[in-house]
Amino acid sequence: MTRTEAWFDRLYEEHYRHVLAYCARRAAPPDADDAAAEVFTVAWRRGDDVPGGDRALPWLFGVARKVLSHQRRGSERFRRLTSRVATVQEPLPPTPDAVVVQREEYHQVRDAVGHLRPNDREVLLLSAWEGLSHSQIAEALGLSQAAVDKRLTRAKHRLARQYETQLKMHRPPASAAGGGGSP
Amino acid sequence: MSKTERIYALLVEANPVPDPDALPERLADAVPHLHVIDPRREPMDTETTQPQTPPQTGRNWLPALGAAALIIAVVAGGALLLSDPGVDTAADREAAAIAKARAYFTAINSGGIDEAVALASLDGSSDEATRGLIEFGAVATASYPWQLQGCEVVGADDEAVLVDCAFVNTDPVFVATGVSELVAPFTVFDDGTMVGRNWQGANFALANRAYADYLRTRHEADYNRVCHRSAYPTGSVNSNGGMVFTRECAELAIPLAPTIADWVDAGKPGA
Repeated sequence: MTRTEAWFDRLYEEHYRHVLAYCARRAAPPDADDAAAEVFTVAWRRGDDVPGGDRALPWLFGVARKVLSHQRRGSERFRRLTSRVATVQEPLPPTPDAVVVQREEYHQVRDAVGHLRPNDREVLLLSAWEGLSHSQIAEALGLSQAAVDKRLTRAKHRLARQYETQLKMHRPPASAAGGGGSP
Repeated sequence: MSKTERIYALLVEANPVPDPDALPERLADAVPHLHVIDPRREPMDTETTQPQTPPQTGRNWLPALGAAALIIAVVAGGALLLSDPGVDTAADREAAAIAKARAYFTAINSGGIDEAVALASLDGSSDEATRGLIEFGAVATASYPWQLQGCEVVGADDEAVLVDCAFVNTDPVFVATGVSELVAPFTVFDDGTMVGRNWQGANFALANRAYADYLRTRHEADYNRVCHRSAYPTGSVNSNGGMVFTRECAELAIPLAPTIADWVDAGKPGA
């Protein structure tokens, strides 16, 4: 397929916000804007390499991952930034107590995923946050589907272990647990 | 629901951007002027290779002039910095990292095993295992070289530069299994050491599994003697896809590569 401006416009229109969301989940808003723009710069330059159909978005995520790796300096920064982007959009739970509890749980689970190895973290987030199928994750990461199956299973177990460990080490305050009392 | 699945479900819920369409306009406003970027790859329509000048209005010249002045100031500052012979530039650092990664390919393609071992301690494995891996690679590349397509810097921090090298493995089994185009990621530390990171083990496994399947089927005794991990109960070896990386295993497997490729193309009869 000849990569024309019309092709690029369609690619951009269909996928830009998803790529921006991918970046916003992993970086603070200004960095996310820059990274998403860079992803489409790469797509424009490498037009013939961009696969068509359902494979385009995973390919763009693969590029975004590399672009963000320029910006990211280790898991500490990742955790800091994911905490910051948590203010972008939060699902609203039904009661004020639940808000506190859920936000603490969200913080804990994001913190836990931030402690995982980068490969485990990425396969988990592509599944959990980007909602990709295993075959799309394979496309994004350049892996076989079998490898993705195995890696995702392993990563889920590691996330659970990390989450449990963190809960033991860092019990939430009484207010976060819904018991009231602490400011 | 198991505890593992419950925590995974919590992670799904904790998505900081659950709905991309609901992103604030401020974030989504960053629309790049991509049509003015020159594509570097062919083929491209000549129309698209021409920079598209955005429509200009009379009000645009002032910020443009300001931007130009800023660019001149930055360039002038950069020139002053570059003129200091004591300052290592980021470009020099990246060029050195790329040169080191490229040297690995030169070494392994020319059978320079000692040189390749000195250049890279792949996957942080022990010397013995690394040497076996490189010896396997050297036997393979003597017949089927790794054609380096290019290396590029994909990241850097204050300790190391990350370099990805794209290469084509001309081994017919890799071609037959559809995994001949590979990427070798290296981390090149500022102290001069270098390690290979994850060399797309899953892709290598597809080809190595074909080797292993054939050898198990047609040369079972030899396979068990030199290519199966159980043949090295005390030694330190790398393995992937049912093959161990030693010179002995390579010397059994590599001469059979064209035959194995035909066997793969025929659908692995008898496997």
